[in-house]
Amino acid sequence: MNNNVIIAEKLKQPVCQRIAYFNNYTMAHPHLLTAFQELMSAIYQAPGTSLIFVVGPTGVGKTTLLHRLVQKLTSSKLEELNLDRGKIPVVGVEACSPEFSQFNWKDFYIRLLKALLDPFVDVKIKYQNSTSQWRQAVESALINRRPDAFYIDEAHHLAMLPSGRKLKEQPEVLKSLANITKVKIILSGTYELLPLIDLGEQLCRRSKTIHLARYHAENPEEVKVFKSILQTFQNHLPVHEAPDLVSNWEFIYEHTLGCVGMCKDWLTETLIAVLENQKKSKTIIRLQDLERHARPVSQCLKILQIMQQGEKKLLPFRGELEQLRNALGLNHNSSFTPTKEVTQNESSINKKPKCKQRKVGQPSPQRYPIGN
Amino acid sequence: MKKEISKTYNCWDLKQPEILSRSHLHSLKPIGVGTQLVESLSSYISRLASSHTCSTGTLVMNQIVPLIFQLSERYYKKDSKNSFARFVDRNSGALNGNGLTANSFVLAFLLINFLLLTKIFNFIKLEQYFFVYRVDASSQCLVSYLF
Repeated sequence: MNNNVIIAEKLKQPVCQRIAYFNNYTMAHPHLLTAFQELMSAIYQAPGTSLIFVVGPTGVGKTTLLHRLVQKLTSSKLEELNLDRGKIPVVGVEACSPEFSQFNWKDFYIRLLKALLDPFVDVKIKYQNSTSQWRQAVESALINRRPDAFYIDEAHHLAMLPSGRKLKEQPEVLKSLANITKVKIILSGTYELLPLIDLGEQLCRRSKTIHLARYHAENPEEVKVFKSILQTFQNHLPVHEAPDLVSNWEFIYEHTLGCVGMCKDWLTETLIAVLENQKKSKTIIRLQDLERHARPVSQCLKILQIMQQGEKKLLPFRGELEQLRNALGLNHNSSFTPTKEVTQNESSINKKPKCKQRKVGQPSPQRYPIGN
Repeated sequence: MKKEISKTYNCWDLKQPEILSRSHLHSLKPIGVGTQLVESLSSYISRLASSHTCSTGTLVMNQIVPLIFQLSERYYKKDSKNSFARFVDRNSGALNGNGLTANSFVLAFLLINFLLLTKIFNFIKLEQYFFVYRVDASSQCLVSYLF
C-alpha cells in the first residue's frame, strides 16, 4: 500500500492509535541493518565466538536490534519450537545497575532463571546461599532450555566496579558460562562497556565486537543517509502537515547527535503533545513545536563528549599495525631485535635504586627527635 | 534551487511471532527408551529434579502431587494433609508399577509440561493408550511409552 494512503487512513483513527502507530514504527536504517547482519552471522557462523559485544551510544537503537533478533530467531525456528516445547528460542535479561559499586550476580542469576521459566526460583535455593549454587541452577537451565542466544541488555552496568581486578573477572564469568552451556552470550551496552572487551587473550579470541554507530556529520555519505532517515520519519508522521525535516536537518542533528532512536523519541514526544492539545480538525507539527520539546543544548553537549570519548577508544590508534608487525618480526628494516629488548629490560632492572642497608641497631635518621 | 529527493527506508515490523507456550519443566528424554534397560519413573523424576537443581521432594510436592490430588481426589485425599514422607511411603511402590499411581504421575507430567498437544497424544488418544497399557503392558516403566 502506498505510504500516503496509509497515513490518510491513520489520520481518520483516534489519537491513541495514531500515537501507537508512530511509537511502534521501526525504521530499518543502514547502520541498524548492517549491525543486525553482523549479529546474525556471529550467532550462526562463528563457532569460536562465545561472547558478542554490541556497543553503541545511547539512543542509537541497541534495544531495537535485540527485539529484532528475538523476532528473527523465534520465527526462523517456529516448526522446531512447536515440536519441542522445552526449548526457548532466545532468552534475555536487563542487567541492573549496581547499588554499591558492586554488581549483584545473585540478583542477575535469579532474573535469568525467571526468564528461563524456572518454576522453583522461590523454593529451591535461599537467597543467602552462595552464588555458585545459583550459578549451577542457571547453567542447568540454560543447558536444558537450549536457547540459541542469551542477551544482556544494559550490560555496561557489569563494568561499574570499584577495582580493576574485579573488572577482569566479569567477562571471564560470562565466558565460562557460555563455554559450559554452549550458548552465545550477547552483551549490549553503551561505550562504558568497552573496558570489559579487551581483557585477556582468551577473551579477545572468543569475542566479537559489533559497533552500532551514530551518523556522523563529518561524513557526507552519512549526512545523506541521515537526511533519508528524516524523510522517512516525515512520511510516517500521522499528521496533516509535518515540518520539513530534511531542509532543517542540521537543527535535528544538533539535538539528536545523529542517533536515530533519539530522533524518534523526540518526534514521538512532540507528536503526543501536539495531538493532545489539538483544537483544530487538522493536526500540524511546526518547527516551533519541535524546538519546544528539544533536548537542552547543555545536555546534548555532555552526551556528545561521552560519545566521542567512546568512539575514540574504538578507532584504531596510529601505528598499531606497525607495532604489531615489529613485534612479530615482519618488518626487516626496523631496528627491532628481541635480544636488545631483553638487555634493555635487564639494564632497567639493574638501575633500580636499592635500599641502603643499615647496620643492626642503627636507627633511621627520621626517628631522631627534631628541634629542642 | 532544485530540491534533493531523499531515499526512504523500509520499516521493520517487530511484532513477535506467536508460539505455543513453553513447557513448565525441562523436557528430558528418558534413558534407554526402546530397550529393556529403560529407566524407571522414579529415576526419571529424580533426574528431572536434579536438572532443576532442586530436591526430588520439592519437585514432587510442589509440582506433581497437587496436580495428582486434583486429578484423582478421592484416592489421595487423606495424603494431601500429610507430609511428603508419608506420601512416598504409601505410594513409592506403586510408582514404578502399572497401576493408578503410575498412571496419575505420568498424566500429571503430561499436563505439567503441556505435552498433550505437542507429542503424539491428544487427550482421547491418551485415554486409549492407558486402556491398552493396562491390558498389554509388561514393561516396568510407563514413561517409555511416552516418547
